[in-house]
Amino acid sequence: MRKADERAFRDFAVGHAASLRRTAFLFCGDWHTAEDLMQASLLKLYQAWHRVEWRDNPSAYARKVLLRTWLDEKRRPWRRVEQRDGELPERADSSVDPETTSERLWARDLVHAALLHVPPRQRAVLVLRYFEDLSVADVAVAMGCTEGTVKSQTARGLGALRAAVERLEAGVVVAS
Amino acid sequence: MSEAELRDGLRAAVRDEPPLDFDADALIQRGQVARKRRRALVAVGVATAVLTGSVVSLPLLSRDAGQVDALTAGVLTTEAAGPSSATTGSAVTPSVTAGAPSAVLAGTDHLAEYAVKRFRQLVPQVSDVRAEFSVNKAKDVEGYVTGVVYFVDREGSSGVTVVLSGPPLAVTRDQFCDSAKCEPSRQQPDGSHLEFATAGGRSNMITRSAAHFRTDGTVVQVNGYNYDPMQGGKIRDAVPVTADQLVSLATDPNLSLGE
Repeated sequence: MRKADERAFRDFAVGHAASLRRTAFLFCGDWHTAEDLMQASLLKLYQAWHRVEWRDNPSAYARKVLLRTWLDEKRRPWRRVEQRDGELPERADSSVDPETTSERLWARDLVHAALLHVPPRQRAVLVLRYFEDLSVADVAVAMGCTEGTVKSQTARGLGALRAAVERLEAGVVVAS
Repeated sequence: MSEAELRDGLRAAVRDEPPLDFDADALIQRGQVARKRRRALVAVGVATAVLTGSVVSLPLLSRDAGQVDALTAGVLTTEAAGPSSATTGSAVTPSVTAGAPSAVLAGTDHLAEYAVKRFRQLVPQVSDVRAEFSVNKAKDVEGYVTGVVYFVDREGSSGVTVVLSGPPLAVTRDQFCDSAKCEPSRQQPDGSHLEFATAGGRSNMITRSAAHFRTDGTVVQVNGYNYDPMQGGKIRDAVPVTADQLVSLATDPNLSLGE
C-alpha cells in the first residue's frame, strides 16, 4: 500500500474505531467481543482499502464489514453455546444523580438486555436504524437486502424487543 | 416501548464505554503481515503448479524423445549439454530435472543462457540475473516453453516471465487481450503483430505484457511485474522493466521454439 493510502487508512481507523466499537457492542452485548469485532473489521478494511477509498462513503462500507464480521462470528459453533443474560455493569455511571442511579441503570440495562433477545438480523436493523440513525435505504445497503425487508425486519424486531422488555419487567427469564 | 425510548435506551447502553486503547500502527502491521503471507501462499501455489507440470510432462518427453526435435533443433549443439557450455559470468540454472532427454536440456539451457545475456544488455542496471526455462507439454503435444528471468535491482528482487508457444498450443490474440487491457495492435514490417497489454490486479499489482505473434504461428509473450512474481514481497510503484525492454525481448528472433 502506498504511503498516502496508508495515511488515509490510519486517519479513517483512528476516527472511526470508537463508533465502530459502540455499534459492535450493541450487536454482541460484550465490550471485549466488540473490541475484537472492531479490530477484525478494520483489518479486513485495510486489505480492501485500495477498493474502498474510491467509494463515496467508506463509513457505510465499514459498517457493512462490521455487520458481516459479527454475523459470521455468530455462526461459529463455539459462539452458539455462549448464552448471556442480564449482565450487571462493572461500575456505576458517576454522572447521574445517585438517588436515581439504580432506576436509570435498570432502564438502561433493560433495553440492552432485551435487545440481546432479539434475533441477530432484526437486532442489527434496530441498532442501525435507531442508534446509527441510518435511513431505510442505507440500512438496506449495509444489510445487503431490499428496503422492504428492512421495514419488515424493523417491525418484527420492535415487536420482539417489546415482548422481551415486558417479560424482563415481569421478572421472567427469557431464553435467547 | 416507543421509538424515542429505544433510541434513549441504546444511547444509554453505551454510556459506560470502557476507554479505547486502539493502536492503528499495530493494526496496519498485522495487515501487512497478513498480506505478505497471502502473497507468499500464492507464489508457493504457482511454483508448485509449475513444478507439478514439469514432473508430469518430463517422463512423457523422455519416453517420446524423438518427437522433441522440432522444439530443440534450432538450438541443439554438442557442447550445450556439457558442463563447459556455461557462458562467462552467467548464472544459469536450468530447471529441467534429471532424466530429461539431453536435447531438451540443451534447448532450455540455451534459452536460459541467451535470455540472461540479452536481459543484461537490455537492462544493464540490474544484478544477479539468472534464468530458468522448462518445457511444458499438454495432451502429449509439444510447443510450450515457459521461463523466468530473475534479477535484483535497487528496490529488491523481481523477474520477467517468458512464454514461448506454438501451434496448436499457441496463445491467440483474443486470448491475450481477454484478461488485460490491450493497446492497439502494431503490425511489424515482416507481417507479424505485436500486442501490448497492462493488467491491474488486486492490491495494486500490475502486470505489463508484450506478445509477438510471429508469421510462423508461434507466439513469444514476455511479462513484467511491479512485484516479485515468485516470492511476492513489496509492491513497487512501477514495473521495473519498460515497455520497450519487454518488446525487445518479445521480438528477439533468438528467443524462439526453434525450427
